[in-house]
Amino acid sequence: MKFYIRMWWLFTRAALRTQLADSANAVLWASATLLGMLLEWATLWALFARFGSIPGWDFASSSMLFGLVRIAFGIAEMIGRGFDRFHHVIRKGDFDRMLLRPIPVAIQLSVAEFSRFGMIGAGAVAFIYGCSAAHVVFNIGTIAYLIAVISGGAALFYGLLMMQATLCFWTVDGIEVANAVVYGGQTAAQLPLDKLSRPLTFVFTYIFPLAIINWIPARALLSGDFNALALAAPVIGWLFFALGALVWKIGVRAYTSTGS
Amino acid sequence: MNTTGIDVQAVSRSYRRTSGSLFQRKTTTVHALHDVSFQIPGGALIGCIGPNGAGKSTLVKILCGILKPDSGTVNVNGREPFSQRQEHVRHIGVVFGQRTQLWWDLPVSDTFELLRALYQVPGHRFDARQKLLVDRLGIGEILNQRVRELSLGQRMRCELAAALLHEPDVVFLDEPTIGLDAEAKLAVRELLRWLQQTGDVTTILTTHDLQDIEAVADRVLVFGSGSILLNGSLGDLRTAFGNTKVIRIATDSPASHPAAHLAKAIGNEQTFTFDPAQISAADLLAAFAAQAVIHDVEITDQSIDEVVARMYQHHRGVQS
Amino acid sequence: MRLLWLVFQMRMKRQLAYRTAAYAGIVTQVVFGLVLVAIFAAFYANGIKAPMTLPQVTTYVWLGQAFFAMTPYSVFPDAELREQIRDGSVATELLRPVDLHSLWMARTLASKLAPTALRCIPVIVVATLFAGMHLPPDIPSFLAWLLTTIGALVLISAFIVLMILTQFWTVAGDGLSRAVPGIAAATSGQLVPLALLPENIRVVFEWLPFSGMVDKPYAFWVGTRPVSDLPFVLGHQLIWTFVLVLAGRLILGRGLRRLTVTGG
Repeated sequence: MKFYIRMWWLFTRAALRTQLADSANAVLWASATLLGMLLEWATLWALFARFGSIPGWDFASSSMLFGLVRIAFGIAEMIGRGFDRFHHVIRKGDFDRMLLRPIPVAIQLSVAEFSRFGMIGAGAVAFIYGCSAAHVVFNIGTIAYLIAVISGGAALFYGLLMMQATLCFWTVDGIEVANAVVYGGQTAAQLPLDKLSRPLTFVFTYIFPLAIINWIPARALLSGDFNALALAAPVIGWLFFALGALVWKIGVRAYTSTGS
Repeated sequence: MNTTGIDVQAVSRSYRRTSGSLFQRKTTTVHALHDVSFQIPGGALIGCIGPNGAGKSTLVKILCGILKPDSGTVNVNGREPFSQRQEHVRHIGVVFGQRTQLWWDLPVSDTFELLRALYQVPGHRFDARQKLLVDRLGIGEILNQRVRELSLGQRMRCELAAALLHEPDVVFLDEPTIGLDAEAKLAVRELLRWLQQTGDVTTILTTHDLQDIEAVADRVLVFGSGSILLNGSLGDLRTAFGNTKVIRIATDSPASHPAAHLAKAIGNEQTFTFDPAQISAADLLAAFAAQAVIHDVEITDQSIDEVVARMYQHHRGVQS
Repeated sequence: MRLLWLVFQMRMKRQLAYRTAAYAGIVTQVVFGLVLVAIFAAFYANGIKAPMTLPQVTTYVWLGQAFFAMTPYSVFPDAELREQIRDGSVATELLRPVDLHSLWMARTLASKLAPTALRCIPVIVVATLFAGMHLPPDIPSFLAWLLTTIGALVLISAFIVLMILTQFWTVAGDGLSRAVPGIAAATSGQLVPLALLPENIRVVFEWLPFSGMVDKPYAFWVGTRPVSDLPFVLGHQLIWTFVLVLAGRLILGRGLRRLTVTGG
């Protein structure tokens, strides 16, 4: 296990060197991403400015949701980029190359790419604004909770990326679907999801538990009431990750058995 | 180091291919390998030749452990490649002619460092090994260059070094000399011969370049349509498919002989092929000399390409 | 010209072959459409008067889902091309005796059109029957929508090809093609109909090319834009397409000269 972490770190360091070689561009792209995210946040503001609030949520608390999902997804994408681009890897035949190395393919796909900083940064801005505007109190406990929730959310999205990549073994062009799910998931999660119709809420609680990075932690932080469900949120995210990892493993096994 | 060799028994492998449009699907089954069995002693250098689609790359993938055979058993130096993949790949080296194992945007030396960590090779041992390979392959000067800036020949030599740094007991080479200039090709063959001499590494060389095979291989495996057509030495290959000899003469006037088949005539040179079993080289030469004044003569074996080509022809003929 | 048509056809055929992706895509679109519609409904429940009615916004949202493949967030340009530029193998494309920009336009057009064609009708049918989507108010509006949607297709393809070409300037990472979609999406009306944004912001956004990809065509279908605006919208799309194509061709010319070819 320590070996895997060490190798992951060495690969990431090598990739970082490559990415930083192009640092001028990197800063430019990160800024553009940041701008895009802030524009999205602005449209959210515009809605609240025109319509006032919606039951249970105002601009401040919605900003918290917006921020949380951006931070979590940004982290997931940072280390899960390899899974996001997996259809390339297969197409280029690089998957075979990865199988020939004595570490799991998943580790090789998790080499960090730092272009996601823009998204994480924008998310942090929105979240901090939201928290201060909503007068959320921060102490050791809530900060620890926050870290756990973000890690759970990142784990959730990372698991999703793994499942998406597993699709690539069979449909070859799952990219369109993947696109839609990823974009849709992000967009949906930045809005309050707890007052939707029953079937939808069910979907987002039990099937694709966006709830754990959406209303559950936000409500807990806002109200100061950390009930069992709130505390379970990060765990659920990690469970989803475990599911994704399992699906991935099965996919790799099946693919190398049937081959192409 | 385990060099018990490679043992393949009754391995079969087929693929399903789907084609067609949105509304009609067609599925065909391609039998890539059919009931293939052979043994390779440890330390040998085997050439795998065969037309594209004959099953070579499928077999190599199975031996590497990244593909599971539908049936049969495979044992490489005491390991079962597919089920023990992570352990198995720790001890193998691979060079694919078309695709690189090196980190594209980084200096070669960085790749070597990463590989050292990846294969967990102890420090001193690695340094000694690296020095040895760098010297043999003459890549000392390009170690600090980025891989993407290297020429094909330089890159190939680095790939070879990279594949051997962790002292694997099996090495798979897929078209390692494709596109290389003469000097680079010789360097590669030199290294392969050296590998062979050490006796520590079993080498599987897949190539269309039959000169490579002739230069370095102990034995050949000839593939055709998913089966092994021949498993033996180059001499066996020649014997099995005709011990044809080639005679080239330069004369004042054209000569001929019923037992000699004219392959080409350019200027005052004529090239014939003949079967030594039918007529000896000496008799044939004498017959020609009786017809014309001979200025120059050369007698050689038929090139291995032609032997193999005839073998494929024969195989196709047998099939249909 | 025939070559371009062939390329287009091949791409279409290829995209249409992936049924599973199409079905899954439809389901995803419907689910997220429902979410967005519900959110807007919650906003409108406050009873505040807005430049668009809730049924209009609902229809707008559903259009966005039905035509998702043609929206800026779906700007994942032909990934194959991106990779080709990254590792230099695009050099082989240069050997083809045809204008590269047009070739890539044809490819992109097909790769946007095919998934759209597969998905839009089922999504529209489901949304109209069960989820509050409305059809265009009259035939002229529908035709205006149709024409400007074709214009949007060309516009977005020109944009994507331009994004691909900026790859010539990045060594690693996806550069612009990852960063810009966010800006494009926000200003196109994909997130929120432009009519609902504050007036001064809306005016600025409407000048940008992205509004021509989403908001302007949708407005015809939804009925918030009079058919008499058709020439202005088409003009906007045309001019921006021209600009993007020009920029693309310029970059292509410079980029080809600068192309880093592997040594040896």
